[in-house]
Amino acid sequence: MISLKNVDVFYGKIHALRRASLHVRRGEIVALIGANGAGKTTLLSTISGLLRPAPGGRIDLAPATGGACPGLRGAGSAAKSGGDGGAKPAFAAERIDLTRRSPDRIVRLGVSHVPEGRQVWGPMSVADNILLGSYCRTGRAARAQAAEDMAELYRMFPVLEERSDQMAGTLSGGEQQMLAIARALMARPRLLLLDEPGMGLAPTVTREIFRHIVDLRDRFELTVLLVEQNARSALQIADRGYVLETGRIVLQGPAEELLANRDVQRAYLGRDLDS
Amino acid sequence: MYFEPELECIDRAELEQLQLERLQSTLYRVSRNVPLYRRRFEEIDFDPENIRSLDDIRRLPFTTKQDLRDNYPYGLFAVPLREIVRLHASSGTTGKATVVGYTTNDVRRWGRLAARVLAAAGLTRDDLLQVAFNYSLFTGGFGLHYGAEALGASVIPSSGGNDRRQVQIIEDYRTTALACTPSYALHLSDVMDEMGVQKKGLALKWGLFGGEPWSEPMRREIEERLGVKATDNYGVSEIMGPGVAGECLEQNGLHVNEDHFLFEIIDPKTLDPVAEGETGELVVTTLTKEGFPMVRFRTGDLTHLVPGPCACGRTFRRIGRIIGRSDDMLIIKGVNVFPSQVEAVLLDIEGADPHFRIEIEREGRLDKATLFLEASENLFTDSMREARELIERIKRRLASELSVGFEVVLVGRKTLERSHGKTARVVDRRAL
Repeated sequence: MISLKNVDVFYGKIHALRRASLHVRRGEIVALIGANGAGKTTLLSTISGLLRPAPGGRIDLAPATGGACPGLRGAGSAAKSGGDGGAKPAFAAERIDLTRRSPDRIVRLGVSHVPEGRQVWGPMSVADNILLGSYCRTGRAARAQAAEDMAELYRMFPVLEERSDQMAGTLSGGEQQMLAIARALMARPRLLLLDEPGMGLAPTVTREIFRHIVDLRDRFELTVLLVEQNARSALQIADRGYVLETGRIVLQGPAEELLANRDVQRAYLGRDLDS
Repeated sequence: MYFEPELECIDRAELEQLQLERLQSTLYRVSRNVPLYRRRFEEIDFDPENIRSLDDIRRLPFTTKQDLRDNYPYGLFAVPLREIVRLHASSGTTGKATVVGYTTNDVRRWGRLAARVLAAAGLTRDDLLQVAFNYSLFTGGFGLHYGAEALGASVIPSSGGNDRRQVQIIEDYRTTALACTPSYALHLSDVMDEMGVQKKGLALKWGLFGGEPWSEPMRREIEERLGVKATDNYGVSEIMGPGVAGECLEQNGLHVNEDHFLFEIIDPKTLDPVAEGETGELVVTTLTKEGFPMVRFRTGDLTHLVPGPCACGRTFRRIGRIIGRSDDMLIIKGVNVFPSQVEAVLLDIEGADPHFRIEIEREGRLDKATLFLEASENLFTDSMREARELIERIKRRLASELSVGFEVVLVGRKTLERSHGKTARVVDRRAL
């Protein structure tokens, strides 16, 4: 779905991301773990075009398959017909280089970013927040479709429908996170970038959010790149993971291998190995 | 069949991305955790960040058996010993074997890679695999054993030796797949004939052979006599036992598990890459090993790249069967032996520069190694009893230190042929 090759990002003189190479296959959940300041958010923001990488690196997005952008329902049917379980070419011949595209163009290409701290518009209603997520879909047919998608999202997150007229700022943290995800889904993404969805939430609420993420992948074959400080819960739902340390990817592998890796356990899973 | 189709048939561009990611993090880890690599990288002013493509690996120095010996026993481990759950050994060039460590993840991955090899060779979960490789310090039977378990097949860990019992197990347990050295497979076939076993009645279908060089005529003979489909598989004890590469049912080269091992084929003299399809020495870089990663390890094994895609659908490139060694290592009964190891034992016993010759031949199907030793002045004795004792002592030492039995023959001084003052130390009469 997406691959990064040798991506460097600088904040002034600070080398925030060093030769990062990473890929996510279609339908995968990939976790990006690491300490504060390791470069996780930088990496996500670089994919979504909010930050510009230094020249030399590449960020390639696989082109949409099957014509129409496989959003909510579209992807659902694609998942059924494409469920051969065999090797799918994740990189088709023409890949789309994202490094010089604007953020809104990247959204239109099928990449939605759920930012750290949700960033919902507090004074606006829940419904308006969700609708704003479809800003890239113009034309009468697309708007009709957006209304259908919204109905589907309400089925998935009933609490948002109950509170659709409430101001978003009055929602609980977990509800705001669901709202931020729903808003991102309104752009019918193929790839969802999730930045710390569990931040500041009670463990049970985090678990619920994570259940929704798995559900989205399973039902719509959505591809997810997930940044999380809570490494254990992220790796528990992820297929694979990458470990970032001071801007470098120092380790990568299947999630169960990372969970069993002592370096990861010591540094990120809070396990005291000497006891 | 495939064990992990999404990886075994991976798109090449995607594979290269995966290899690059894994190479970058492997190099970063060894530069941080293994003093030898840190020093070497500093010497050439190399930062793992400078690896931008897979070809950049050519800028790095090779790792040799000598490096392993210099860092004996644990110097090349990339994790603390407490994280190692398994130790195996590989033969060193002199005296001591080198030590190779595996973490929990390494052992588990080893099983999965061996399962791919087994699936490529025809096995499914319905098969009964008899592993007649030794289970010991050397990796031998372990890889395929784990592989069969990962695949869900049944394993019969019969280990090596005890020929008649092996045959009885094949018959009674209805073994469907046999893993051993190719010469041992032919030997077992002879034993079956002696025992009057009706081979038509056996359940054998698959044969997985490795551990020593063999040939197409041997493959045909094994297939005809045992009624199996015979495939080749490859492991390097410094890298990982069986599981590095394996043949599919096309029987035309061994698919290297390229998502875990980056391989190059070099000219052992110039150290440059050989032209595609030319024979050279296999060099392997591990991409996922945690305990004992190796960067550009010179295996000493001579092979070539089999060009073109394979009809089986796997996209991993293939190497041809191993045709020999770029150094003087011998493989006797599947065990790696260097003449320098023999020399070290003799030096220790004799205390002087020994003149000796190793002759290897096939006695029936099996290797037979004989050591001819010139009696030096230190050893000179008229007593038959003393001579016999000396021979026994040498035999015991060789057997315990090299894990291979030798016949030992004392010969008179200056009776071994010399060229340029040096004895030709090895005569290999085996025809494959």
